Amino acid sequence: MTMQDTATSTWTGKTVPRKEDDRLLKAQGEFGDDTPIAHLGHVVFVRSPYAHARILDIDVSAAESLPGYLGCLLPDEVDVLTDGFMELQPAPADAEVDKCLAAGGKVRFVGEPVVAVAGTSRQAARDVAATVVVDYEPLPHVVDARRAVEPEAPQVHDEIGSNVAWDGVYDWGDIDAALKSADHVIEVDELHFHRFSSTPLECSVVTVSYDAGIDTFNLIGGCAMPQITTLMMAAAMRHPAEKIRIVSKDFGGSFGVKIGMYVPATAVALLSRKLGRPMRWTETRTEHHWMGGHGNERWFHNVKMAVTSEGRVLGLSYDALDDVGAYTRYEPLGAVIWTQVANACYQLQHLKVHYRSIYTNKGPVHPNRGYSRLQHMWLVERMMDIAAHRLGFDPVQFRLQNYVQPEQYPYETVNGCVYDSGNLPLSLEKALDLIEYDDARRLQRESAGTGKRIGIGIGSTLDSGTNNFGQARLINQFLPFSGNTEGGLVRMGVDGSVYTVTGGVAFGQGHETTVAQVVADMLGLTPDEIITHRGSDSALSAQTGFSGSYASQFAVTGIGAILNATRKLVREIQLVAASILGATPEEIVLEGGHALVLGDPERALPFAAVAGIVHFSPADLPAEVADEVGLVGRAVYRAPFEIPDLERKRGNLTLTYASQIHACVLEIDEETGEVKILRYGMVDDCGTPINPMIIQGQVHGATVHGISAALFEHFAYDDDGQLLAANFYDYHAATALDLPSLRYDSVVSPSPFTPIGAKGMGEGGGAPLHAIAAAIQDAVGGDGGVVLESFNPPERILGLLNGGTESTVRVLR
Amino acid sequence: MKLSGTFTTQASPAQLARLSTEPRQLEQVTSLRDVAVDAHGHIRAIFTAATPLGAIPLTTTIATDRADESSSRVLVRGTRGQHRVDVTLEISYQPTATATQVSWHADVRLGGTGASVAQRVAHDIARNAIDGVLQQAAGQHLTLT
Amino acid sequence: MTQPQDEMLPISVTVDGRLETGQVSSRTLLVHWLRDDLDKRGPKIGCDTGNCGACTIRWDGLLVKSCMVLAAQADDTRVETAASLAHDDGSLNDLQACFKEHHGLQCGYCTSGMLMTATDLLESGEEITEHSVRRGLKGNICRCTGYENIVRAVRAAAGHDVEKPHGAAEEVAS
Repeated sequence: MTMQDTATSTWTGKTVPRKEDDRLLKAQGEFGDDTPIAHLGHVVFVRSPYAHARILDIDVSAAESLPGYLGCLLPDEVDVLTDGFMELQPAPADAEVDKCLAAGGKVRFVGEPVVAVAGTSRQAARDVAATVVVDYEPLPHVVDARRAVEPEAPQVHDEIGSNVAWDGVYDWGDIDAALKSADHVIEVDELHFHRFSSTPLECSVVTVSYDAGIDTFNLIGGCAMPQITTLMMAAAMRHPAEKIRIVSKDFGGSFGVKIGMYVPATAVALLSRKLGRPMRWTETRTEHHWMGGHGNERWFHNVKMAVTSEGRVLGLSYDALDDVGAYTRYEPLGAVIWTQVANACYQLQHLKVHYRSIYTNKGPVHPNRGYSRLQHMWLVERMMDIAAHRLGFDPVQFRLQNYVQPEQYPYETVNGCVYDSGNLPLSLEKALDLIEYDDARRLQRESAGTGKRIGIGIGSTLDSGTNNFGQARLINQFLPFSGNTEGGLVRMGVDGSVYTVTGGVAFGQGHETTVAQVVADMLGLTPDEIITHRGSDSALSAQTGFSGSYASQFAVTGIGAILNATRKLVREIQLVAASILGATPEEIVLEGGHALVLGDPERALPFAAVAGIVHFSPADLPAEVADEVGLVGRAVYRAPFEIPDLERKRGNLTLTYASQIHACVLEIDEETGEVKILRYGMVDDCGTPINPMIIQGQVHGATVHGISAALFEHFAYDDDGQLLAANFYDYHAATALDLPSLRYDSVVSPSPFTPIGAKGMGEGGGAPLHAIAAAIQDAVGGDGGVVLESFNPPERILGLLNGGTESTVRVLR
Repeated sequence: MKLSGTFTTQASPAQLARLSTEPRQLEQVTSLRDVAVDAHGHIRAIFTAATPLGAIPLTTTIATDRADESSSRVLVRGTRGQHRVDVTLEISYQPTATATQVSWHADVRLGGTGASVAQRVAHDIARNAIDGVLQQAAGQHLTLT
Repeated sequence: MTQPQDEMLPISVTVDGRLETGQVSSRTLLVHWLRDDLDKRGPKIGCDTGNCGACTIRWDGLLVKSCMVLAAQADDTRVETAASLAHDDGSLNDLQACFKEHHGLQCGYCTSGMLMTATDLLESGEEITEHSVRRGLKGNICRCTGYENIVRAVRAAAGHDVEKPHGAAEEVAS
C-alpha cells in the first residue's frame, strides 16, 4: 500500500513513545520466569562436562530418596518417544541425529544435556541434578574447524563419515580471469572471524503444561519463531502441530539465538506429559553460554582480491570454513544466507567462494544478529581496507569509488540479488561528519610519538531483510521452502475497541507501538486507542509458517500483514456504516472513532455502534452484509519472490537492503594494547521510517553488540574442549563505562519494493567489527602487523604493534 | 592447572607404590568411601571433596598407569552432576634416613560447571584434596615438612 | 550430593512498603524469595554470578544485587524493588518518565535493575555527569539499548538538557 491508503498519516513515521514502556518501567511485565503457574515443577538438565565422550552408564538412583524429586527423562526414553529433529542439510550429513538429550550414546560438546530431572522447586531440582552420576569414556575431540577437516580428525557424528556438514562452491563472474588480468592482486592466507553471541539478558525459559484431557502441549516462553518451533517439536514428538500452542509474553531478547528453543522445549514437554504436571526450565547463564547458540565462527583461507590500477575492485575469491559446532540446528543455512550480501556494499563483478560448514565439539551455532552476512562483509571490508593500505589508496576514496552508486539502484549483484535503494556515499559523508573526520586526522598526527596511537576506521555494511526462503534450496534442493509471508489480525470487539496481533514476536523492537501507529492511521484513531497484543499466541491465527522476529523483516512483513488485515476490517466497517447511513461503502471514511460519510460529517456512526450492530443486532443489516462481516480482519503479507535458479545459484534472496555506515576514532595505548574509542558515528538508512526513535534505538543496540564483540566478547574453547567464557565474568558484555557516547544520523532512501517504503532493520550488519578492525589497522600503521582477526583484545593489539603478519599478506602485483 | 606438594611419611617406598591399587588401604582415607575394584582393575570410590560450598561427593575412578618404588603415575577421574575433575598425578618417593619423602605433581583439568566460575576457587580445593588423600593413605605416622 | 537438611527459618521483611512473612531455607537467595514466593517481578535474574545487575534492589537503603543476599539475611529489614517507584496513582515517576521519553529501554529485562541503580545514583549527591552516570551504571548489563539512551534518560532526570531521540522534534502530542 501507499501512504494514501491510510486515513491520515498522523502517526506513521513519527517518533511516538512506546506503548510497551509503562508496564516494563513499573515492573509489571511478564517475562518467561514471571508467569505464575499452580503446581509447577522445575526442570534441570544434567549436562556433559566432556567435549566428546561415550556415555557408559547413567545412575539416577540417588535422586529417588531426595525430598522434592519428581522424576527424570533419560536418553533411552527420548530415543523411543521422539524422532530426530529435522535436518536441513542434504546427504551424507543428513545422517546427523539431533535429539533433546544426547543421542546415539555419546555427548558431542561441553554443556550437551544428558539427563533432565524434575523437582518440586528450583532448589529441589538442582539438588536432584547434583546426585546424578554419568559414567563417561572420553573420546578424542576436535575444537578447531581447520583440524576437523583433516583426514584423521575425530568424528563428531560417526554416521556421517566426515566433519563436513555442507560443502559447495559459489562462482559468479570470472574471478580467475580477473585475477589473471588485474593490475593488482592482494593475497591473504588466513583471516578469522571469532565466536560470540548477543547473549540476551533473559536466558531461555520454557514452561510446558500438558493437558491430558485434550492431549495438548501448552508452552509459555519467549519464542522468536513460533511456527517453525511448533513444526520441529511436532515432527520430533509425532504430535499434531495444532495440539501444540506457544504463547510468548514479554521477551528479554533473542537477537536470533533463541531460534534453537525447540530442543530444550521438547524435553520439558516430554517431562510434563510423563509426570502429569506443568514443568518449567529456567536456563542459567552458564547453560545459555554453552548451548544457547553462538554466532558463526568462520575461517577464510586463500583470499585473493583483484584491483585495477585506478583503484577499482573487480572481485575476490576465498575458501571458507564455517565452524557450526556439534549440531547443525538452523545450519547449514548460513552457507547460503551470506550470499544475500554477496557484493557487500561494492560493485564487485566476480566472486568465487568455496564454502564448507564444519562440525566441531563445540556449542552449536544459531543465527545471531547479522547472521552469516556480517562474517562475509567483515572479510570484504577487511580486504578493502588491506588493499587500500597496501596499494596506497585513500581508504575513504577507495570505498566511495567502489560503493554501489545512488543512481545504480535497483542494483543487481553478482548472484542476482537486487539492492533496492540507498545512498552509500552520502551515508559515508555523514558518518565522517559525525566523527569530525578532518579534526580526527589532526588528532592522529598530533598523537605521533606520545605513546598513544590514534586510528580512524570505516565499517560499511548492509542489513538485508525479508528472506526469500527459496534460498534454502541452494543448500538442499529438496527443501520445500520458498518465498516469505507473515500474518496479522485486527478485530473490533463488542464495544468498538480495536485489537491487533501479528505473527512477529517482539523482544524489544517496539512492535506494539509501530503496529498501533499504522493501524491508528488507517482507522482514524490514536495509537493509545489501539489494543496491541503483547508477544504472540499461536492460537490466535495471526501466524504463518515463517512468523517471528528474525532476519530484519518486521517493518516489511509484520507491518505489511497488519496493513492488509486492517484494510479488511476497514472494508467491513464501511459496509456496515454504508448500509446504516444510506451511502456507498466507498463514501465512508473513518475519523475520530466514527465511520462517516465523506463530505457529510453529520451522517456518522460511532465505532461502538458499528460493533454493536454487527455483534448484537445483525437483523439491522442487509443479509449480504451481515453474512460477510465479522469485524475480524486476518491477512497475510506475501513478499514477492520467485524460486532461485539452483543451477547457477542465482536469484533475489532478500527484499530489502538497509545500510549502516559507521566510522570510529580510537586510541591505542602502545604500552598496554588497550583500546579506547574516542568517537563513534553511525549512519543508518532503512528507507521510510515508521518510528525514528525506535530505529535509532536499534542502531545503538546493534552498534554496542558489535563494539563489544570486537573488543571484549569471545566464546573461546581450550584444548580440552571447555568453553572459557561460560559466565558474565569471563564473557565480558560491554558496560556503560566501556563505551563512548554514540553519534547518530540517518539517510532515507525509501524501498520501492515494500508496502510503505520501509526496510527491515535492527541486525545492523556488524559494522562496528569492520570499523574497529579498520581503525586498529589505521592506528598500527604500515610498520605493524595486519589485522586478520575480528577479535582484538589488548594482547593481540600488542602483537600487531610488533608486526609479524607480513608473510601471510602479499601484494602479488 | 598444575599443583604440587611434598610430605614425609613412615611408609616405605614399596608400600607407597602399592597404595593406588590397594582398596583396603584407600578405605582408611576418610574422604573416600565405597571403595571397590572395577572390571578393568581400576579402583572405584566415592571421593568427597570439602569445598567452601559444602561437600561434593565425586564418583571417582583411580587408574594406576605405572608404579614402582621410585615413583607412580596415577590417573584420577571424578564426576558428579555436570562437574568433572581429571587429575594426572605423578608421585615420587625419596627414602631419607628415617622416612620417605613423597613429592607429588598434579595436572588438574576441570570440566563442565567446574570449568566456569568454580575455576576461581578450584586451586586450593584441589591442592588440599590431593594432599589430604595422599597423606592419609600413606599412613598415620606423618611428619609434615 | 548428600541432601543437606535445610534449616527453615521464619523471616519478616517489609517489601515495597508492605510487611511480608515467610519460611525460607537457609540457602534461599533473596532474589528467589522475592520472585518465587512473593511474585515480585522487579528483580530479574540474568547471570547467577552478580555481574548483570538485573536483580538490583535497595535493602535498608543500600543498593544491592539481590542474588548476592540470602533471604534469611533480610529478616527484619526493608526491601524496595522497582515496583515501588511509580507514584501512588500509577503514573510514572520522573526517572521512569525520562526512560520512556528517551527510549531508555527495549526488551525491558534490565530496566528494573537500571532504575534502582539510577535512583540510588541520583539520590547519592554525586555530581551527575555523562561519566559519573556511566560509572554508576557499570554494574548493570543491558544487551538492547547500547546504554546511550539510558545514560541520556538518567541525565535528563538530573535536569540535564540532553539530546532528544531521533525524530522527537517532530513529535506529535499524544
